[in-house]
Amino acid sequence: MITIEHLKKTFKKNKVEAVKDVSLEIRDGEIFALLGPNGAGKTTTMRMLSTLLLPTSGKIFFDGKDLLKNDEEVRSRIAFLTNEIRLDGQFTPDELADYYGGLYEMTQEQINSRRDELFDYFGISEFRNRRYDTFSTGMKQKTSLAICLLHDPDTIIFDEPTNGLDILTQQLIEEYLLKLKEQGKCIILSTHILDLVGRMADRVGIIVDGKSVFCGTVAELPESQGVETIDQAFIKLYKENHEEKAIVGRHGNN
Amino acid sequence: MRKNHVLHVMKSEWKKTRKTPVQLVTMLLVPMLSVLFLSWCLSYVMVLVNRYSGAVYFPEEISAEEMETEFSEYYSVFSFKNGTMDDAKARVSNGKVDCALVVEDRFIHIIYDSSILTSPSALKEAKDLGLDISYLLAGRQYYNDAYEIYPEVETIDMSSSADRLEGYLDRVGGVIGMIIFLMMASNAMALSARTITGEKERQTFDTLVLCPADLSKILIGKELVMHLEIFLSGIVGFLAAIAGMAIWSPKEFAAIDENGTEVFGAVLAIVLIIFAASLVITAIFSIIGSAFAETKKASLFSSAGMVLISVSAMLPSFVSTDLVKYFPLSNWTPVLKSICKDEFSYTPIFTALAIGILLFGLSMILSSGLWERTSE
Repeated sequence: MITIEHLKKTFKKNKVEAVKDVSLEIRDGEIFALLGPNGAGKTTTMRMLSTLLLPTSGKIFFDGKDLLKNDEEVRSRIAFLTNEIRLDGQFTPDELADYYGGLYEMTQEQINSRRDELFDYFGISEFRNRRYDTFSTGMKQKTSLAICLLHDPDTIIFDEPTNGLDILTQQLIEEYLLKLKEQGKCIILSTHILDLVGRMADRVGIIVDGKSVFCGTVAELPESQGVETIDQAFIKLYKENHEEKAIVGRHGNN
Repeated sequence: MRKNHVLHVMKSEWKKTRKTPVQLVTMLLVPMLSVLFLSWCLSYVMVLVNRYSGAVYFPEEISAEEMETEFSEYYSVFSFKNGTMDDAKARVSNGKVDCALVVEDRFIHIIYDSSILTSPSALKEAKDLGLDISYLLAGRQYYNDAYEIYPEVETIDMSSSADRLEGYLDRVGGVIGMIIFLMMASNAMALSARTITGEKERQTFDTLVLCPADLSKILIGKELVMHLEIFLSGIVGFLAAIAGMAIWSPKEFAAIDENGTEVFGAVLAIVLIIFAASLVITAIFSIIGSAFAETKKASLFSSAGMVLISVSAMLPSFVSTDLVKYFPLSNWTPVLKSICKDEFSYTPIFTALAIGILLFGLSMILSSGLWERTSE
């Protein structure tokens, strides 16, 4: 279980307060969808969860253990994938698996067995000896996914995992995520596709202007806002919590 | 048992280099060809413009003034005197002239020091003068068998093998050393951009941060491979310098053996000098590489790094202190000279090596801090 308490992140360089106050609870064996408009602080929150960024203040606990004090252990248990993450282009999927598997302390037998399983599932086996930089976007995404899941993590953090992918690849990834959920893994998804949330997620967290404004089940979301759909609930929450200052800034004082 | 991440990253980085033909060409072929080309240039092109002075010694019965009137217009670098072979040899030995011609009974001898008079064109000019003198003297029937003189212009090289070797190192060694170091530095710049700064630019850095491995160990693995590759390019440059010497300066090359230079000791010393230099070069470029997330920004500071390396390599030409031989990069010329003068000692070499190791160690601490900081 992951507990996030009053998380805050201010980038010193440009003095941007990307995350102001985020508190969430994410349970094992569930797909948790993190929603929010562009620039709300979802990616920054996910980067802090995956140890890529240090929080300015606030706490993150993985099974009761403070993330900052146990970062190495947490890293060995999580996978983080975004569209921004790339792998070394000179390497083939086989070599990438050897490289990252080694860094994750896996034995060669473990690497071989996981690699075969994941490459077969994502249809990479045929291209396993081709350089990564020669792949199409979809193939790159599937390879990145296979590599980041190689060490069999407990928690999988995906920032818009199916963004820019064709429908077949999207389906393949969605099916795999459901399979991981059945295995008891914790999956955190950040997405703009509310339809995907409805189909896959168990619980939802909504961030608006760097603050968490909702955390509950998918069913609770429209109920709590007195509307019928997730879309309507999301828009209502956004309008209620979006800072007036930003609207004034965008549209002038009229 | 925990895996050795440093070794694991080293293997992987070396594999990347092997899979990048451009990198291999830059690392091995460019230093080799550059040093070979420079050796050729220094052996031929530069010596063509070498200025020298000469003197011709005639026996008492020939008027030196008359000969001067005849030849000075065409051979302006020569002076004309009456004197003996001993006079000529003394003048060449003490450096008063670079070349002396001695007209004797049946021969015209050309006395020179090949460690000083390096220009083939200068020697040819001396031979031409010798032949012209023999024609003139034959025409005046000074010699009865003057025509036999024609093929008998004889050269006497006054230089010792140590002089030739020292002269060669004086003219060529410093420049070759600087080119080897600059080639190593340009490789370091490319490697640092690819393996350290490039991780952030290519967005592969986050994948490394996510691994439960210590980032500093990953960086150490990268820096060690970088050092080995830079060292290798330095060794290739050194081998090319030896090959260039053997091809275009065979006399000086032969002098290594004639001088009784202990070849194993000399080669070991040069290898250690290159090793220490590659430690310092790696240190400079890994700090620059890890301080930036964009290669464009890093390259601005890399140029400053190149200047620093060039100045360090040229330092022995500017300063007279003996201290330069204790420092990596600036120790190349002084140590090479000491090898051929029989004053060779391992103390400055090991001191430079210790300084190199210290700087490399400090750079690892600093660069891993900078690398992690820029991940924010």
